[in-house]
Amino acid sequence: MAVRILNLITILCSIIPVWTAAQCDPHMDPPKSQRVANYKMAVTLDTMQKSVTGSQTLTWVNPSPDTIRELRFYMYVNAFKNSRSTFLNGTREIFGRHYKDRERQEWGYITVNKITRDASELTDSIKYIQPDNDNSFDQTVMSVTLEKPVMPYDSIDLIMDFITKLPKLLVRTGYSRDHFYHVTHWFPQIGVYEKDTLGKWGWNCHQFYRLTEFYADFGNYDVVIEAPDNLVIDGTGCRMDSTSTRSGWQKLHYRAEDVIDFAWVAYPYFHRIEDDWNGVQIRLLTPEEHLNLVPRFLHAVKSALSYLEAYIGPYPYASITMMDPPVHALSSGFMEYPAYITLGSFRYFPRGLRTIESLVMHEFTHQYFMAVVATNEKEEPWLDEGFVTYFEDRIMEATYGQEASLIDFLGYKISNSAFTRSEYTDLPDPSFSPLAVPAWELQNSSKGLFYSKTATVLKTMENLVGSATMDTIIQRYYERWKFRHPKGHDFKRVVSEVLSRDGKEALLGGVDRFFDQLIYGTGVCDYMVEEIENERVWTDAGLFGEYQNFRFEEGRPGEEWRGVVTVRRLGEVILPVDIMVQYEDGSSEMISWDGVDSYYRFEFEKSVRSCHIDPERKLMIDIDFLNNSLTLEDNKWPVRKMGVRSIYWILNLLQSLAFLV
Amino acid sequence: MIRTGILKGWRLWKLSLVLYIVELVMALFIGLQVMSAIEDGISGSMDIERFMDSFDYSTYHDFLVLHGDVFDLLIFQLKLFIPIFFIVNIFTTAGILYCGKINSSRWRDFWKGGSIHFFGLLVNFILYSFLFLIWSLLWVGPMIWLVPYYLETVGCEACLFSTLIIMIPIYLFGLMYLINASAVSKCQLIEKDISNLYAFGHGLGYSLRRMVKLSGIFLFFFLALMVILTIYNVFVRSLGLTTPTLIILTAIVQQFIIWLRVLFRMMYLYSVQAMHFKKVSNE
Repeated sequence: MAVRILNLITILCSIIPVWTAAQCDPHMDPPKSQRVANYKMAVTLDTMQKSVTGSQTLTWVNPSPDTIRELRFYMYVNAFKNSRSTFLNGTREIFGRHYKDRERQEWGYITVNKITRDASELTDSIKYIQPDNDNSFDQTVMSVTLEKPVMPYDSIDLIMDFITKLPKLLVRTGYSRDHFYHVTHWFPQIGVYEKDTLGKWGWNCHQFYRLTEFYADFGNYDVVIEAPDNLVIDGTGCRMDSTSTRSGWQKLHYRAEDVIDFAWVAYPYFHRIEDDWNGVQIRLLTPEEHLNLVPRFLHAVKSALSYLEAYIGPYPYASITMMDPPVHALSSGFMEYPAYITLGSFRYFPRGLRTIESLVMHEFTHQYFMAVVATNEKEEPWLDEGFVTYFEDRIMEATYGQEASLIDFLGYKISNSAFTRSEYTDLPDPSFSPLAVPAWELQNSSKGLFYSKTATVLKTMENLVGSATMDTIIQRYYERWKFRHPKGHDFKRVVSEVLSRDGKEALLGGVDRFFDQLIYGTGVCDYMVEEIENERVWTDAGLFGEYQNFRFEEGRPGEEWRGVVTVRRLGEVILPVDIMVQYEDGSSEMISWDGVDSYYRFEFEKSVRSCHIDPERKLMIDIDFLNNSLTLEDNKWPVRKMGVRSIYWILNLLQSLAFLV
Repeated sequence: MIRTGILKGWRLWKLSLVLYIVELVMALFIGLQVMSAIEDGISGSMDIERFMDSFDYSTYHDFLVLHGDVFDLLIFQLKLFIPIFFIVNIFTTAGILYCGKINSSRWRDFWKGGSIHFFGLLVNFILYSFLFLIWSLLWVGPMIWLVPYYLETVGCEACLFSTLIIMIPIYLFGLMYLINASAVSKCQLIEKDISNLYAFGHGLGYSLRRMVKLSGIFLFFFLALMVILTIYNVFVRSLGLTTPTLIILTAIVQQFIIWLRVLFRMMYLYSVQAMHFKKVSNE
């Protein structure tokens, strides 16, 4: 009963903001992007067939000086057509779900039935190609040959009739029980025609790999969805109007401008909760069972909106839709689409475990790094996932405090950034790959690398150059590249510009070296204090004066002491570090080391008690903090404390077992 | 019965002290190795100071990543230790119950009781371990199966939670019943020269008939322990282990609590024995 009353209060509280919720106006004036790929769609969700059928008019602008005779489209849903697709090939399970025993109707596909340009049909010119490998079973990239080419900077209108048969949900897209439909990467989406790293124009339209995400051009989406009216539907963009059509059906009109994709969801048992933050409409879809979590979701997204506006720039879209899937559709969660993010939660998640909040913040930050700064998630995943994880850490720590931002439970406190770092140092071999590699080159460990190592590298950069300078870097990068497709070297250029302007390049040990080591290289960072030696300074010894008047002085240890500290660089990564030296007389000194030599001895005219490399833990990328310091002080109490605790727990365990006897 | 058990346990407190010391020695064997492993790994590091003030995840994590293999050995040793612990405990339990039976606190009687009844109680332990295992499989198995069933098939988190809220107490109640039955069987074996199978059956039957009283005895000592542990946790939380004095003080309190656990277990066994002895006398 108490739970019901709580739910009722939550619902009432969530209804109240509806009256004051911001209006959703998708119109961007002036346009924010080049609007290369614009879609106008009218589709119907067939809940019997589990399919979406309809037609789209694509208006595509040739952004290049090339004359284009072939168009390429992503056909992502064909990844779920059979087990030989590049996505599924070589594995029986996706995220722990076995899929090979699926029945016929549980597989998915997308097909274009008809494609016309100016009334002339191009359907016969459709073929599936495999630009990345020889897997002829893979049909995730479609090629259409044009009879009449698209001239430089000219535009083309294509009308495409298509059917998307949704697969039973495996990951991200598909249907689940009780008429849950997650309709993402679901239509024939044109690839990106752009310059490659050598400056040559061409299609960037990769096949769909298991570990790759998405990459598309900006444009406007005008989508009319017809579906049974018992379904609660929402997704990218603003709902312009909704009407009843035939009996039991609804027609919803959505519009989104300057976005790179359009995704939506339908489920009869969603509660739709509206709120707003500074004119941004917040829409939350959540099943009844998760209504107790609504305040947590809303607080997290508002914290993210507030933080990112302050430190990067205003959120550019009129709305953000958050979809919290029912537990049977959990694999549709944990994803990001323009102005639409998907979460993942459980009803009884304790407040002190803030993974729900960190997930909201992570996925929302993708609106900045993926949706607006639209990097290539396939070729350079570190640029979106890494930046997002770095900001997730920052927002979490700004919102919930540095010490216990992620976990504050049963006396255990873990910060988000410490956890992120541990995901990187947990890698079986932290030097197994550079950061800047395409996602498809990695089979596993991509999270520890793309997400966590990048975030840790960026945190290290922030600590070295200072928070204000780091904010300037990020803001300039964002301002310059919003609604465009930057590459890794574009970010590096911004870093270089800002640091050289402020004369701070040396703080990173040189921007080129920093990037070569930590982004494009595989080395690890590990500094160590190897040894502290103290010895008395001997008095002068030998024969002094002239012959016949020699004065012999016998050498003996004097009153003064001399300390020698040996430090080592165990990893390949070279970074400038601070070293804190504490002397026996109680004084201390901070010295700087360029960290270049693999072995260095510092000599001091005093006896040294302890030495600590990087005492402020600026180099978060250092894989072993424990060997960063050495003390001659005999402090056994921390060890004793752990020993006392372990003995107590062992005795408790034994006593509990004694009841069995 | 509880009063009798408490008084008898209190009178034989020296026995509980010996049992506690035996267990402490065993725990020290492992615990000192943990200390030594930590000392070898990171004692020179200044980061270890962070453990004094709070739980520092990065220090803890780096230690586990770089020196974590030490714990594999310790866990292996603990696995070897547990059977030894059981054997020692079977002997001491036999000694305790025998001393309770003849109302003696002499060491000679303790050793005598342990020697005479060791094998009887060992067989009893094996029989009841088998039952504990079956009971656990009967409940834990379905619980593990229910998680995906409710989440994937039924799609109802509240249903899963409600089911577990019902199942877990039933499971724990069953465990309590078996612990009581095992205690009764042990008393029976000490009191009469009967076969293990008879004592086993008698324990199960008697505990079923006297479920309320026996459960009351068990819950009394269990709740008393919980109260003490809660007070201890509040004490540790509020003080923290941040200075050598507090560490020493906490260590003393911890050991006192462990001794109380040993003593409570003795008192529980004596309470059951007193109740059972009354029944036997009546017969």
